[in-house]
Amino acid sequence: MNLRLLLLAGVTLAAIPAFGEDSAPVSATITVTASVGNICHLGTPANSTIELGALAAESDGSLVPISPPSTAIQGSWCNAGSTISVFATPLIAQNYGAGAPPANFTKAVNFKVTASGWTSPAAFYTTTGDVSGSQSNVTPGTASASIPVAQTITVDLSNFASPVAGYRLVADTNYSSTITVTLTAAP
Amino acid sequence: MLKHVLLASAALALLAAPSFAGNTSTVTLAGHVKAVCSVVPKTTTIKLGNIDLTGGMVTVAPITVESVMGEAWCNGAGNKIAIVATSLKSTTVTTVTPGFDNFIDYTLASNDGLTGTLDSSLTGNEVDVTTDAFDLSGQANGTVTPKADGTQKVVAGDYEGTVAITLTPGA
Repeated sequence: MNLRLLLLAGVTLAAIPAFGEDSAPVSATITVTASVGNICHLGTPANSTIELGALAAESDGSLVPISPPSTAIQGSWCNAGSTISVFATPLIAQNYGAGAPPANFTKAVNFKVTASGWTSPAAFYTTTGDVSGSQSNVTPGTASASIPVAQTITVDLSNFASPVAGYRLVADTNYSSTITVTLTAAP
Repeated sequence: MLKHVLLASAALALLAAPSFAGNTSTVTLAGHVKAVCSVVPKTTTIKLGNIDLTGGMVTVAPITVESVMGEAWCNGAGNKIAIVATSLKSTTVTTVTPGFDNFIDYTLASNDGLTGTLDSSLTGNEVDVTTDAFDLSGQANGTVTPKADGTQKVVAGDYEGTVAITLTPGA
């Protein structure tokens, strides 16, 4: 082998690529983040008005037993922990006027409202009106759920009672109360 | 003895003399460029922000994502692009109550003209594309569109998923 051949051989060897190296895959990972806010939705009550009928017995004017049907609030949900609160005003004679009722009479009727189906135990509130309807306790009843809930809330009314046992109800064509149920998402 | 040495030297000199009369030598230079790929995200985190809800379910609305790729190219032929996306999962809620999901699926659509649409809800949700040399550096704009389950609401909180891109060089 002469010098020229050796030189050419040298050139050729130098140009041979390094085929031993792998053409390895390359990769990258991107993290995708998002958030969902804490939201509650309270459905519409099946009945916006609960008709109780006659409250007093015609025989003696005292409160009669009252057992109204339940009212459902469907389509309610919270996607986070939540608090359900319930509040009500006493049933108060709307047309009687601002004055206090005569002795041994009441123009207010107390009752208990329970909102069940959301928490266990259920949230409840009992009105604390005096014979004129003024409440001594205006703090709503509350109960908390630590996890998301999607349930029907059932509102039940019970324990109807005169502020003073045995007091008669003043006559009025319209005794009225407002019941408020609130859902609040945990912060 | 000296005479023989001189003669031998003369003969060697003749052999080594260059020939100037039309001889041509050709030297071929051979090179090679290795098939390689490179992928470097412009950002390692895509923040979609707050996901809107409708009735507690995910609102299907595209979220534009711009210039995801800082560098993404392959110089060979028959390169493979593989993209795998995982669902957005709640970072805090592991157990859900009935009626709720703790994950959000989405479709990932790129306007790069190569990778099409990816659905994180599909099993083995991988896009595999074979393509010649390409360079998407600074591109890969696209949209992320959350998918509504249709019945399930989603729990509140932070969510996180991943999009993994693998480029395999071809020949």
